[in-house]
Amino acid sequence: MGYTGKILVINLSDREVSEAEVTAQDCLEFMGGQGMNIKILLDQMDPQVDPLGEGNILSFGTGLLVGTLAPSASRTSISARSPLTGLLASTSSGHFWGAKLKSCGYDYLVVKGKSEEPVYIFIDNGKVNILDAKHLWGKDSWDTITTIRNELRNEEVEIACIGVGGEKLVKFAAVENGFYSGWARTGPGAVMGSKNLKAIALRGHEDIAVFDPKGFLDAVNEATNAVINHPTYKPWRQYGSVLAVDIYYDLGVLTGYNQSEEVGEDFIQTMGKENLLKYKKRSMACSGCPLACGHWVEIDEGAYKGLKLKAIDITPTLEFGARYGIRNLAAVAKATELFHKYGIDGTSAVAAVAFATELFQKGIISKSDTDGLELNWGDEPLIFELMRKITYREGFGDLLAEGPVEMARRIGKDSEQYLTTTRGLETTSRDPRCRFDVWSFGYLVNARGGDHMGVQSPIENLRKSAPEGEYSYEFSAPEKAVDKVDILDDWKEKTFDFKNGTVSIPHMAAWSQDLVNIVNALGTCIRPPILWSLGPTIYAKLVTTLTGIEFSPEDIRKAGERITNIQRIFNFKAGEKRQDIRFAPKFYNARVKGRELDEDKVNQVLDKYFEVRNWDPSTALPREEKLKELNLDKFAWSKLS
Amino acid sequence: MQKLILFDPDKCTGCRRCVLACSLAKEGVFNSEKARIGVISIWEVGIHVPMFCQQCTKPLCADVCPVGAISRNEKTGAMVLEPNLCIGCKMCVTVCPFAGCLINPHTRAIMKCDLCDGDPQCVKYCEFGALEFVEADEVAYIKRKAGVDKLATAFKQIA
Repeated sequence: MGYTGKILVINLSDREVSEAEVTAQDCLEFMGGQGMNIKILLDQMDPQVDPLGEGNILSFGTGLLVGTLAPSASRTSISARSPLTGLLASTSSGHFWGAKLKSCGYDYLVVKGKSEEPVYIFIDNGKVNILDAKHLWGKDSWDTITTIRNELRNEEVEIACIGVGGEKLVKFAAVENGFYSGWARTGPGAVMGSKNLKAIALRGHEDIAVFDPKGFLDAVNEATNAVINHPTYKPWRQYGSVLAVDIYYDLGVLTGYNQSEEVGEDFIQTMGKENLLKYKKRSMACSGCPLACGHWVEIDEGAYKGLKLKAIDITPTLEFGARYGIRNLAAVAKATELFHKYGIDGTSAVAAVAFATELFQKGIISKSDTDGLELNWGDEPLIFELMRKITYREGFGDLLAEGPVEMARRIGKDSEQYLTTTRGLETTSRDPRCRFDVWSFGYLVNARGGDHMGVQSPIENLRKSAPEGEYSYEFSAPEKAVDKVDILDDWKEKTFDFKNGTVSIPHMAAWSQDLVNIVNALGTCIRPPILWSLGPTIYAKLVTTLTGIEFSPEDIRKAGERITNIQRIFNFKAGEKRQDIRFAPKFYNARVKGRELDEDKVNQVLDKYFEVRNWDPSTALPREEKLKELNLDKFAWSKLS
Repeated sequence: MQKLILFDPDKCTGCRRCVLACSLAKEGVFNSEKARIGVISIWEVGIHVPMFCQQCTKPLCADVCPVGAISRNEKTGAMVLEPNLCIGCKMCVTVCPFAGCLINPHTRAIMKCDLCDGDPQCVKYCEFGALEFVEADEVAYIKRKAGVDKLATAFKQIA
């Protein structure tokens, strides 16, 4: 119970529709969401597959708790092989699409093959229709959603779709989830576009059964109370994620001008959290969320007067603001409108433009490469025009649409020394040189490449001072704060040294990564009031009472660890070797604030992390005994190599 | 004294916890089509509105019911449907302007809000205070106070 137990498989090449079962064992071992997605991919696909070829599989997986009252349980993961990085494409989105997929009677939707003509899928309460989408091809995502809702005569139909970005195979195209959410990172929209699949529309009224309604409600109450009593809850209710804009500025870790310079005071005056309140009218939530970190904003002054939408999250604020130099929060709202309509990942788009801008300023590329455009920092009309060119792959936009790594390869002239990508993905939000902590270390081991979403510590040390000894394994955390964290005792002991006030980065990174994988398998959210207050103990209660399958807190933790292991196995099979696990050369060779990373010292931390995981440091692969312990024997080393 | 569920659109985030709580309380499952409350979002303007039985003073559902299956619970003030009497003619569904009477998608039985016998779960699980369960006589003060608070904010900005 609690999950439908069904996987819907649609092969667009021959239009065959079939169903597969999710067993209780699957549920116990991989829980749901990204966990099951990766299992499906590894079982059915060669990770070396051409990401934009017929063989790539696009798997949508609802979190195990999605569609219930469990706080924030709304999130669905998409997994495939990424056209941007060649690694695992992995991205999670909330809103209501996942809950609706469960109402249609399915936990997972697996899309295979490639349609000859543009189509969209309409799942009508379990009945699958593959419909013509020629009239939708070329429409932006908002138009697509409105048109489908009109033709199905139902405003309540939940729609995942691509914009023009996905049709044009922009390497970082997004799948949009309703008007204002999306699966953006690592290019799932390009995979969907390569299949000639424009949209997936859902309508359904099936039950999500509950094994023990009273027990589940008790667990929901306990979890919700933990969230709303967490010290971060109230400020997050007001500011959402932009709360941290000011904190990261104070820490001096922002990614100014393609991570080449610090940002000045004008940044925080124009982009800091208080600016949000000029535009915010209301809070907006995903399914079942007691936090509602989204903002409904209305711009009633300046160049973007009249703009109304859900917008202004931290990542666009930092990336358009710090990385590219925009000093106007209303412009972030405009950028948000554009990347949603175009169906591209705003983070990658602005990273490509910022990379090009640094190359232009350094004289490596010139107007003859940029369709005559002069690339300057913080130029609002220019970046909006470049986002359009990217989407339509027009002129210079065709190069930007390949993403920074491929741009550097094509441009040559040592341009790769200005890359800020780690393992193929743009390193977002915080510069690892400024502060080497769990967050920064996470760029190296996050399954989808070097962004910050795969390893998020449930306890952050955000004190102003830099950690004592930058490259030591430790930084300090107060014991009182640790008491609130739902972390298992044996891990607490290994991770925290209260006598010296330190935390082991390799241990905390391993715990955090497993925790984020748990969250992405259950469909809850990694926003701090939730990530920091819910852990294996309460998740075990929620999942057991919902499904009737007995989960211990250790089972939950182990499922998270199992997912981390299969992520690494996927990436290894996709071609990522131990020596590929490193930061962009820029972070080792160029200084920011008088700092650069020492590769030997970073490798020491990595080796310690592999040891914590019981992975072989020479290959970064799980040792046989670890595979055995996790019941992943079939991936034994001999079969991997 | 009658209590009623008061809705404030400025506070509603569209999370649908009210819908989930109702469905679990009434049916023991999560299914928005089985909840007695339903939220419609107008995404273009970012507005969410829950629709539910208003427990009308002159209830059309009871008036139109040919078998008298809907009657007022004097303790809670709720119009309550007696399933053993209901013949499923759906006339109540037809006449209700608020989608207060609904058809169960599986059993086709009529479903309607009974204020959870005086402790409505939708209100309990609204973390944002968009739904409140208040005395009818308090409504005037609550609405006046909300209006005055807005004015006060505006005055502060001028001063």
